[in-house]
Amino acid sequence: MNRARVLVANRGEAASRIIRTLKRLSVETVAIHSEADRAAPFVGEADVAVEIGPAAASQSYLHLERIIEVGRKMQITALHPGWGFLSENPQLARRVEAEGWIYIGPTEQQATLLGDKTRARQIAEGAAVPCTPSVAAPKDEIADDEHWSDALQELGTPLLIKAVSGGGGKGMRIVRDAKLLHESLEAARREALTSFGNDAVFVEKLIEPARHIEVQVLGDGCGEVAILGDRECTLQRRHQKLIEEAPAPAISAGVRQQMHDAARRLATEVSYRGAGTVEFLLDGEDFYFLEMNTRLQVEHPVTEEVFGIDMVELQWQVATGAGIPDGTDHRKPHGHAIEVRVNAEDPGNRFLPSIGPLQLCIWPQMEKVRIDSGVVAGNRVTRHYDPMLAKIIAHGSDREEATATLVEAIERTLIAGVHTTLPLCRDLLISKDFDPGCAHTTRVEEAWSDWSPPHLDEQWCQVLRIAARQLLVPGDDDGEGVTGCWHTLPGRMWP
Amino acid sequence: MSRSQPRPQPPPWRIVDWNPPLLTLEVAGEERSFLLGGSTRSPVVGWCGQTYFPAAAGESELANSAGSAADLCAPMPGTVLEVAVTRGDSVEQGQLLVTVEAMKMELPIRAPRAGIVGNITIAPGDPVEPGIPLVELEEETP
Repeated sequence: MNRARVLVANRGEAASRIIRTLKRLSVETVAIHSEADRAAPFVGEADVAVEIGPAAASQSYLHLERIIEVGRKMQITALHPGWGFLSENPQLARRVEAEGWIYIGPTEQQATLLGDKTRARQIAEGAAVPCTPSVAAPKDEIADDEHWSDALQELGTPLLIKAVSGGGGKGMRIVRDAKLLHESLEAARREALTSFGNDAVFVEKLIEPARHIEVQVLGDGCGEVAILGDRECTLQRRHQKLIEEAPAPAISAGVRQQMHDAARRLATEVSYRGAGTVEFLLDGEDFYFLEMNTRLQVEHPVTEEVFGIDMVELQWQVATGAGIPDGTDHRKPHGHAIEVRVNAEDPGNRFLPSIGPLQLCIWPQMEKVRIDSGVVAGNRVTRHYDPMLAKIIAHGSDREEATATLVEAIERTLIAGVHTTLPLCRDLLISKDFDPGCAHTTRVEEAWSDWSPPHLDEQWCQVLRIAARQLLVPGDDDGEGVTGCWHTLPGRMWP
Repeated sequence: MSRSQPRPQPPPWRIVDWNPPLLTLEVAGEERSFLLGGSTRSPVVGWCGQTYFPAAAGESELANSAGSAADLCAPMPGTVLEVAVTRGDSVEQGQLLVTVEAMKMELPIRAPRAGIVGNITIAPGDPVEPGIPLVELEEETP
């Protein structure tokens, strides 16, 4: 048999992360990249890289036909979708398997069923997994207004509008004022159409205040399912996670077991294949099924750190038919791991995306700190893609130690050229809102919207200017403003 | 913000430790740790996860004080998705004027105050750049 060759249908940090493990497993990797990503690290990390199209995602990372063409030309044997982009598109699984390649993910049917939020709820209910009260989209479009008014009557406010084929907070709107229902429905529809190519939405009762807890599952596709613990991802804004940790703190052993059992029933119900995440909202001791993500999650590193495993390796084993390794299920987490996402956004100004050339990108080199990054200094952050640049993950013997390590790691990170969410996350980590079990999913929006970075007064600036003249080397004043000898210090590469 | 006057002498200070890029300074008896990168002319300082440019002090303050004209601009390059008002409309503070799409997100541009919609320079599908007001907002005549 030919040597395994995997096309990684993703970019940035996700592509780098996947390539890293595949290389360790001596699997050849093929990267695809857009014109805008020629200088991105993942392009050089893969054994082969193919430019697939212009910057726009629809012409590159979302262009299924071109991806299949590259796969044929490069004679790949398997494809890893990563997360985001086409990772939850059932067509990708279908097309890949029709070519005779291995799809590192669930079957087309599983992705279809679980990706449709209405059908996913039906499966969950069938598997005795608790769900929130909801109203599905109307069958007949003419009766639209009346249908949603009835839904409002039945569920009351606050309501949550969700895209049927949604994810990542896109196509999602909270309705607190009944008068805004129509406007919100239309906005959600538009966003759903541009993000997922499907404008169908449904509404459910908004559970609040709630914590976001999720369970990592791994299925072999033949009915066997392993549970790899849980994570808490409650600190979010606009349904985009900011800080994630494993295991979820402040949950009774009974509730944790119930959530693991529910996730296991759901995955077993569909004979799930691959890595997946069952997301729940936790309100006191009650939990409700939110959705199942049929892919690896951004926050999988916290699970890897506490279990000492490699999720991409496990995905590969399951996909190649080697099954779930013995001892994967029922593992005990070791210590605590916390992750912050480094997003190119301005947390002091409504989290607006921040774009431009990355002039400096210095990561900490610390014990028990892992950097999963997709960028280096000199790269340009564009408006074409998700604003996430990297993740910083800290592992500790307990939650306090992991928190302290992560705060120190953030304080040792220096990024210039774009704003990032790091200073806000640092302040969150040392705040009461990070006390175990204290936060809820809307806390950041409610209490942190007027956050501003700490003020560095003129006295310190003056001293720093003088110190810089003494300690740094003169840069070639090329207009980019920032040069010098410290731009490319690497972080600890992992593993 | 003029820098034409000579700066006052800095307070007593010293370098406690320099282990690039980690810099610990003591100023007037207070010790703080920073990250220092960049060049002598354009130093970049990291503190508490935030990035500062001490050579250009004052700029960040300027950038943060967004006037009402800035509120009528797209915050970043993008595409106009929807224009929710027409010329002559009377709008209330916070009312949606324009929706811009950038980085796959919908960014609403809302009226920073009540007023009458004046000239509208854009239409759905138009590319927009930051710094250029999309809609004119005139004072309401009593």
